[in-house]
Amino acid sequence: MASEGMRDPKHYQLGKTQFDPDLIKEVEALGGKNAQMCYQCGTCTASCPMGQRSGLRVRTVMRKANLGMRDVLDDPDLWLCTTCYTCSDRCPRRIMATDAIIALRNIATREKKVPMSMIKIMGAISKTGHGVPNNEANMKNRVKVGLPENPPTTHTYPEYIKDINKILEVTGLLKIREEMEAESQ
Amino acid sequence: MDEEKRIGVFICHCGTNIAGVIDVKELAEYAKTLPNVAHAQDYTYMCSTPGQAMIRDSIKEHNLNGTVVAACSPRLHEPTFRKATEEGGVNSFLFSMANIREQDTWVHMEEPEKAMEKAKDVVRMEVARASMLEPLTPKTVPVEKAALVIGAGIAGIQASLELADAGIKTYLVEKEPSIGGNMSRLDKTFPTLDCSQCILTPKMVDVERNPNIELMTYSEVEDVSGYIGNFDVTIRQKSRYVYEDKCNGCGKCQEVCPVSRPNEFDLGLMPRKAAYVPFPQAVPLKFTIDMDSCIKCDLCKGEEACGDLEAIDFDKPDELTTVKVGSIIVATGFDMYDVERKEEWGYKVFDNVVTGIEMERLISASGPTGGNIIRPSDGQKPKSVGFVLCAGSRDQDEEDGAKPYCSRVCCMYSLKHAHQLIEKIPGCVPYLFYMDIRSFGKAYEEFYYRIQNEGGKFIRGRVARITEDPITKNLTVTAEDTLLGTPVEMEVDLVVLANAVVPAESTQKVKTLLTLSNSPDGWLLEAHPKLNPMSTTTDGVFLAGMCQGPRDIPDVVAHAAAAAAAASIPIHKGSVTLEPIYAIVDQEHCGGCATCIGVCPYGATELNEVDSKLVASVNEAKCKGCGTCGSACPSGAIKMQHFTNEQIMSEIEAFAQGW
Repeated sequence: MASEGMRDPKHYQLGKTQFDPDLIKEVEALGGKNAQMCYQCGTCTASCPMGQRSGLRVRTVMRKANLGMRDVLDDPDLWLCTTCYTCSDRCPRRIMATDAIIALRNIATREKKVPMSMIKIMGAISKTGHGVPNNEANMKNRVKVGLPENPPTTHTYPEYIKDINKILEVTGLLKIREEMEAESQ
Repeated sequence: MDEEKRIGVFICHCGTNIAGVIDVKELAEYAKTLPNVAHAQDYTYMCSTPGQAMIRDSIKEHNLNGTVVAACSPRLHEPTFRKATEEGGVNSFLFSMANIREQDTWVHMEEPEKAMEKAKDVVRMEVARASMLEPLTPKTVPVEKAALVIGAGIAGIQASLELADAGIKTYLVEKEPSIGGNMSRLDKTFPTLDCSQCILTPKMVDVERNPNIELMTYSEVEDVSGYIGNFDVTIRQKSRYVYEDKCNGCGKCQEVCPVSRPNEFDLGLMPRKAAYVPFPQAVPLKFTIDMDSCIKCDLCKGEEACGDLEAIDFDKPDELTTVKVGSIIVATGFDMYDVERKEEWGYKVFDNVVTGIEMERLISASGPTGGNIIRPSDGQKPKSVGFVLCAGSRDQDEEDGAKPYCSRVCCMYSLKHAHQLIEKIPGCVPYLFYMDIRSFGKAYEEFYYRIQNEGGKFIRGRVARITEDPITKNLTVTAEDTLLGTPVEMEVDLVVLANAVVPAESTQKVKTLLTLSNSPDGWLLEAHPKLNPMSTTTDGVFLAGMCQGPRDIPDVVAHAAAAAAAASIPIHKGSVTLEPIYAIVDQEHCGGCATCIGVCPYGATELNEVDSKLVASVNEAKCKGCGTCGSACPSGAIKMQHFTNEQIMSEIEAFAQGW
């Protein structure tokens, strides 16, 4: 029997931020293998090609995830990772930091913390099957090098767009998009 | 001295160390112009085999009777060139070394012209000195085939067992009633998680049974005289008020004793009686009566207690024993830093702030809680525990008595505590506030990995303050998470301060008795930090374990074995050769004023009556040749061999000729 004064370790204050020890477990369960083993060497940040051009700091993302600082989910930089996996390749503790970022994005999306720009990309996927659909300039260039105007994707086979929408529906993304768009108006 | 002096001067290039700064050819030519110089030459590496052969052959070829080598420091190569001189047939003390590297070309490399001038000065001075040197013969003294080990923690135990197994009679002196030291307080040891007592007690039992070891517990070294090979040691065996030969360790005296006071072994976390053994596995298992707290009720002597054994005697006096040994090992260990002085952490103010060693007792199955980890304020199991690493280590705050060095064990024992908390209390989360995790030993980094994998949480930042909730007695730890640049305030149930290790207070007396020095951090000073970490500047005295500096158990054991090996060398050789560089008293001129007695830092001078007159004499074996007595002597009666007034004056005169 714990005395009245004993605290549930879930409720630690970290500065002014709530600290949730379960966040890192969630990240690991969603594919961020070994994420809690991060020892903050910074190889990931220094390896990140996107980090050189933006505010994305993989080490900081890992630190916040490890401490359970849920405000990491609101961080727009989380969405700048191109998933090139260079950080994961070079990690001395064999942590899949890229997968941890993907896991955090999943959690953020579920909590409707995904940026509206991403929702717009989701709209493009729903409509065309592509996050970045083909355009006229691109088509001209393709023809110039002897390729057909459209790649052999949903652009050539639009009948598969309905299947892509089925995936968006099953994963709950369509609903999240609808709700977020409704909320933003 | 009447013989014509013929000095050979040998100039070393030391690669480019010397030749890259000054013109060595010019220096050799200059040397040839100096008085008494019969030969001078230069060479790339004088210390090499051909370089030594050059000295040897030149002595014969040019009929030399003295040598000067201008090269590095005597500390490095004096023995080499002495030997080369001797091989040429000249007494090795007719050689003198001119340091033109460390004290010249290294420090003046930006000013080569001035370096050249200085090199000429130094060579001229050493040539003058070499012309005045006298042949000397080293002395040989026999060595007593016995050793003394002071302190019976793991270092002293290991050293004693090694010496005893090498066939050397070993006196092991321990000031506490039992051997075992700090290691016997520990629960488990990192990183293997061996039970500390389980690996230590077999060694303790070996000590008690080894026929070559004479164990003297509850004893202290009172006086040491003599020198390497022949130390006379006086040991005070404090009275236990119990006859060790009669006591059978039954413990009935303890049962009936009505006095209760904090047990030092458990850091006061548990009581003991006035009649006590510090812990159940004590060696020897002989009871001690703490006369400071005994009320002399005589219950322990009664029929139901000691009774017919008659082992207890309140009038039993201390005993003084004198033993003769050839070498001495100091293994006086360490104390814990008084972390109460760091007021910001609230030790002894807040109930639930404990130290690392107290945590050991709280975890230990033989400790006050039977191995149940509970917090002191309410006896509850802590669900979150904060660890303050570097508590008093890596801290320049002298006012608080903090220590600038790394204590080398705290990271690892805190990791071990974290593991034990996770293992023993389901759901308990340890938070380690650290600046660096120093997991440098074999399998240590892997242990760190393991604890992180088990759920230990690491926050990089030194704890600035701890506050207590007066009602719940929970603690709030304030630090910065330096990896995020965010201040952290974390509420925990218990805080463990991983406090620094400091030199044991009892070492001071031993240090004085053996004329040892300490490094600026307070630990005993070794002869060389890299190449001779187990010897001291006092010949025949060696260091084992923490008394020389912070180290963990594997390193202590290795250090102790090294000290034992080093200490056994003179004993096995049977004799030692002493440098003939010692002071000699001209007793005709000595007025017996005793000035030299007071100034000698080695206790080598003494006053004796010769022909009904008090005169000083110098013990050749104890004298280190420092010359203090010679310069202090008001009647000029003391001559420092190899550094006579005439020899030193000749150098000064030669120096002045350059002006």
